[in-house]
Amino acid sequence: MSHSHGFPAEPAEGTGRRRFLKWLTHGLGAAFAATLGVPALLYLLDPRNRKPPSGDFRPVAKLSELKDGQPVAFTIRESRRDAWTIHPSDIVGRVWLIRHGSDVTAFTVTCPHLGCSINLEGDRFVCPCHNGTFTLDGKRTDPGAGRRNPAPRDMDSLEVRLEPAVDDPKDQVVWVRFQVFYQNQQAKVARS
Amino acid sequence: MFRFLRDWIDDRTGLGKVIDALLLEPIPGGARWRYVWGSALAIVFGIQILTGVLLMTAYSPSDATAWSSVYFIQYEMDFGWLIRGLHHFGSQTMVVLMGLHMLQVVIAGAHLKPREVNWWLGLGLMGVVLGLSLTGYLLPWDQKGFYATQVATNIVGGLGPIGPWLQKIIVGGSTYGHHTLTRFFALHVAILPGIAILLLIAHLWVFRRHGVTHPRKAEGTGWFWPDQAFRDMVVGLVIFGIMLGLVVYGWGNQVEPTQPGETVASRSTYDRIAHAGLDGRGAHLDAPADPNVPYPARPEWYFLFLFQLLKYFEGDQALIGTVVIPGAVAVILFALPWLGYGKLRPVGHAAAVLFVIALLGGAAYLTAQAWVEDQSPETLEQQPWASLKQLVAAQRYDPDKARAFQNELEHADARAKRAVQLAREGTPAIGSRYLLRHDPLTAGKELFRANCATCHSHDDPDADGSQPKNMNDHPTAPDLTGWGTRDWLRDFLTHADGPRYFSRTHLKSGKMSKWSANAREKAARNPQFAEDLETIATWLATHPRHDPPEEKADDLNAKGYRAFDKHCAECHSYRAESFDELEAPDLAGYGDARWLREMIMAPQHPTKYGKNNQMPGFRDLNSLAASVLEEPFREKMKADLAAAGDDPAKKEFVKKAHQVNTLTDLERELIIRFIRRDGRVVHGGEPIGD
Repeated sequence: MSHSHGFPAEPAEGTGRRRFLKWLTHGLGAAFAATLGVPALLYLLDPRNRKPPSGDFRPVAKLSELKDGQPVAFTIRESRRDAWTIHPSDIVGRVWLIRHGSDVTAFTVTCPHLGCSINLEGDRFVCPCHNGTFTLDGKRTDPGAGRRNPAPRDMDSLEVRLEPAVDDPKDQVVWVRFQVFYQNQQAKVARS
Repeated sequence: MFRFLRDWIDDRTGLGKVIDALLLEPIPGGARWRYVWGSALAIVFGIQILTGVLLMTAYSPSDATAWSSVYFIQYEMDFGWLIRGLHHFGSQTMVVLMGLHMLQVVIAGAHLKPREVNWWLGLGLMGVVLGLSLTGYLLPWDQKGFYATQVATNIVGGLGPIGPWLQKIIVGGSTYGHHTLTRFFALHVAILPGIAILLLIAHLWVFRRHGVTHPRKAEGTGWFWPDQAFRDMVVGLVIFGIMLGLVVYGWGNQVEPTQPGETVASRSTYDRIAHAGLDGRGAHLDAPADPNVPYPARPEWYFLFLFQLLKYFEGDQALIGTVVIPGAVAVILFALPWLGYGKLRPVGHAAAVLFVIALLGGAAYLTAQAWVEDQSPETLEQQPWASLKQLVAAQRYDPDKARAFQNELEHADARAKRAVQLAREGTPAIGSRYLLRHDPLTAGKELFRANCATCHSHDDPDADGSQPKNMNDHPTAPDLTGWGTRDWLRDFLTHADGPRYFSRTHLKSGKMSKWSANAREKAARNPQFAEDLETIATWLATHPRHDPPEEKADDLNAKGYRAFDKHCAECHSYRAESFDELEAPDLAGYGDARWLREMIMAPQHPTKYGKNNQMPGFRDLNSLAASVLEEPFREKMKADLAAAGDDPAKKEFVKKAHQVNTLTDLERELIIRFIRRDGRVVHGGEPIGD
């Protein structure tokens, strides 16, 4: 063999020692990749540990604030944790409340189509993004003018509970169980 | 199938040739273990890129969030402790490997002609890697990185006439803030790694052109794949194993379980491994950066020699330590290849080896000196450090300074531990440093010391024997350690006249003192009375505010109320409806936050100490509410002054009873929670209360 720096012939494939070395190097590399790769993957999948909003009933309004048949939007406040931050009393969402006599129905303002905020337009709820249109009962309805209603389901209603107001026995407090649902599917499923 | 896929790709991209070109490198003289250092550096650099990108997915570079996001990675995210730990120790491994690589290169003479350019590329890479270390050290935005990096940027500020301007550009403003982080972040994750990758490609390219510098007598030819690759892989794995060992050994703070019923044993095996940060595994995280809290700053260990060098050049000589010497070293390193041209080659080679060894040796010496100077005499007495001290720092060593440094460090560690513990419950949105600024047991204690311990006494819960146990040596008002607890109340009932309570005050011969002295004797001979005292103390320790009990009721509330009614109601009221007749504090809610709040804000109020009061009130006189609320207080003082007549002593007493000091709502709530041993952080934006 020479000391020359010229390009020598390629090494012969597959003598036993060389093949063994190749496999061993591959094996060590695989062990290396696994030790680093498995924790790395689990680290990237960490969001699966984050909890959804609590979904507890919250006091939202007083019955006396609502006029029969007239939808009014209210905010929902909750203690919210965003990764490391605590927001002790944060606005986490808005709801439309509609009074029917001594009853109240509640809809989240979030459109079941792709999550824009639904507005009140006259006697209809209309989503400004893709013309999702609903009656005041939250049912899907024809947007008119040849447009298509893209909403996969009716507006998402929320559970309501009425309880006597402490400071005024004649009045009642409207409690709403605020939840967030998956958009763009026919079934109404709370986010996990 | 695999072969088909490989051929398909190769046919369309020619990737196979590229891989062949990369792997099928002939190594004249054969593969050797001593050639591994460059590859080892490349492997660790690869780990740094991978872990770095992972950390980027969770890191949040802003003054308010940086620390908490790193806390979250370290203590809450699955395997965050491992990823961050590898990145942390990876940077230190890089520095060590660079030293070894450089040493190996000059010993082999691989910096000499015709490889000068590659030597310079290597020096450039070294500078970039040190830059990565420096910028990365700041990113957790903890006390350690914050203060250590200030030193570096202040050095820039001292670089002649453009220094201050340059410093401002680097720091992103006059002082550290959001833009310091965003700029260092950009340098650390994009600019410097980009330069490093370009330099690395050039470094390898030029290396391939000239090949390894083999020993003169070497025979035969080896191949990179698999002969050298195998050796590189083995060494890479060993280094990775050492890094892993350092991470698993753990340098962080343990976190106590926060959920009721949660214990270490109740956690699942996966949970304990994925969140081993909670057991102190992984890298250290200091308390959140706070410019108002001093810190004994030291750079990371591999910069300690530069830090130590500065100590030799103080005042107007400082530039020698910061610029002249490091600059000269850089110039000499750059020029090393030129020393070995022509016949001078053996001389230049030897000189280069000597210079690099001297450089590394000198750095080691200064590092050891810096370390020894910071150790307490007690630590140094343990062999073999005593001889190390003789070796490196005998003349310079100052035991008092070293002890002070260790004390500061201990204090800083306690704050770090507390901050991490508090962060487990969530960080206030206004920023990570408010974990401690709004911590009753940290900030509340200091506010108590400044505002209350001027008269009251209180044990310092963190006293470790180096300072007095109590915050006030000469109290003139009752001791508040454990105020409102059953034990405190029970002791007070029979010792109100004693040295811990009223004997220090103008109430030492008042009604309560007399009643208490009497009760002490009576309890000794009357078991029923003694039991009543226990009941009263237990009942008051629940801070009762409920309606007086119905006649048939027989629970603690009823028993306590009846005992109170029998023994205390002659002077004390419970939920008084009229303020006119009160001569002692109303005891409804005694010991709760609301009672204490009212007491602090208006101790002269009839439901508190009323006309017997001599404590100043503490209210926010600058608040918007004050302009409305202070008026009735002033009217009351006028009336009391009028009632005092012309007696100057009485007038003085009234004035003292109505004295007011300024204390903000937040400060007051922190003090209240400190007194009530409630360690929850007071959050901004939260309704301040129980």
